[in-house]
Amino acid sequence: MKAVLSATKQLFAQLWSDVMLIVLMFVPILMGLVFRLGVPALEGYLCARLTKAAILAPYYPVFDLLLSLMTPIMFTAAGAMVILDEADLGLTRAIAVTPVGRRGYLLSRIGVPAAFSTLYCVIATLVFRISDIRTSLLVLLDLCSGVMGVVTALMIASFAKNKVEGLAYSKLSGLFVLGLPVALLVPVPSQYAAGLLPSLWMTKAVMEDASVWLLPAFLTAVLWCVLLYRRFSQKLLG
Amino acid sequence: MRLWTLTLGDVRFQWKYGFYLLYAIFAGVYLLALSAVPQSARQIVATVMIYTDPAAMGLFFMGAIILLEKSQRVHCALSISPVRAWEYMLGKLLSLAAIGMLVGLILAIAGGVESLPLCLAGIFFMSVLCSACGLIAAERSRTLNQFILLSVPFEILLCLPPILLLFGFESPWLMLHPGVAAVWLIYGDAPSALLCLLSLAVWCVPALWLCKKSVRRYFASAGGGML
Repeated sequence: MKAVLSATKQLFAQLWSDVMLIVLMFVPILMGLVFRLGVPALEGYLCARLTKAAILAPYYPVFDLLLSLMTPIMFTAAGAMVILDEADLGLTRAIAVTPVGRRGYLLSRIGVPAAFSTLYCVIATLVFRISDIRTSLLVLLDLCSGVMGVVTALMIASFAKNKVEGLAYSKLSGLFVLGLPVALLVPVPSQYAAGLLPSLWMTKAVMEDASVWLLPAFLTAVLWCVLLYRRFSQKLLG
Repeated sequence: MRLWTLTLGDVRFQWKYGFYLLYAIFAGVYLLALSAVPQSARQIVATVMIYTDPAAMGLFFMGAIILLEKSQRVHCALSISPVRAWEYMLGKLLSLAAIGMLVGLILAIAGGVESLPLCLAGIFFMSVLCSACGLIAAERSRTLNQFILLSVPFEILLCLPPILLLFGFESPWLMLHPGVAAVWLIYGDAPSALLCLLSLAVWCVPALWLCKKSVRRYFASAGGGML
């Protein structure tokens, strides 16, 4: 445990020296302010211009979902970038055979940032939400977003062999958020083809105000975590 | 000849590290998304896709390419070779422009943009500009997180003004902004295609000059100093 704590401290020290930590803390606030102040103003402008009663208003829960999703994804992606830097220096394998171990290493680089950002995300979404989404649903959604953050970071760390591949996979991991437009634009039952994407179920949960959809969201996210963790372990051993 | 060899080497590098596969996947996803968009909005959606991804890919990937080369000590070897800073820089810029134009062309055809030659010219200039900005940011970075942070101001400067077009704010003066000029060329409704091309070309000059200076400085430090 002491070794993991020490590895975590080192991660935060690096993020601090890169100024990344300050930016990561600031961006959700900026995003929340833009959503909270900008989106209703934009809605007013668009409604007046296009003489419609509501254009963006029905999708306010989606803006809350975006804020919820982006916060953990940004934090864990920063951890994944540190893994990539360390992998190129040959440190990943070295740390994995120290008392920190594989699990401890991932815990320090992805797990702790995910847990911290989920907590931060709960506060941010409660302060900046623009829809009348239920608090209990919002908190569950934030927890699910935390797991999603782990999934995207694990995808980068598990498949990439170097920084270039890492950035390519980080771009590809954006596909995990593709469930959001699919849930909004593709009719049932065709949208279930994207059922392995947790973001599909999360979007359904906020749009239909139904917590039950968060169950498949959690299950699919955990499934991805297990599969990607196995892949990461194989990569370290291989 | 050396420039051609360097460009080809970079294309091979991008092939090896899966850029072409990645962009084949992205092109597929974009084409699927475009097919779901109503015909009336397809051209504008294709323009946004082209501008934010294939045209600007250098701003995103340059950091990883340069940092990987730094960790492999490639610059130390290059700095004592006959390769000049501008050849190295153009090799990177042209190879990324090639893949950007290829993907951009596919999306432009699917989106039904009005003039393919103007669209390709817009993608080329924008790609060169973005890659040059990415290269400047990458040469100053030690880690990927640092690069991501350094590239954000460039992204904001290049992407914010074109957003004004989406809200109907149009003025011929906006042509002076390279991003707006590129979007007009890609979409195909530029008030003056010639002036847009000129604007982009003029912006590329200081970007390339700063980029070359940045690469030269880094080569000098990697090679042990300027003689």
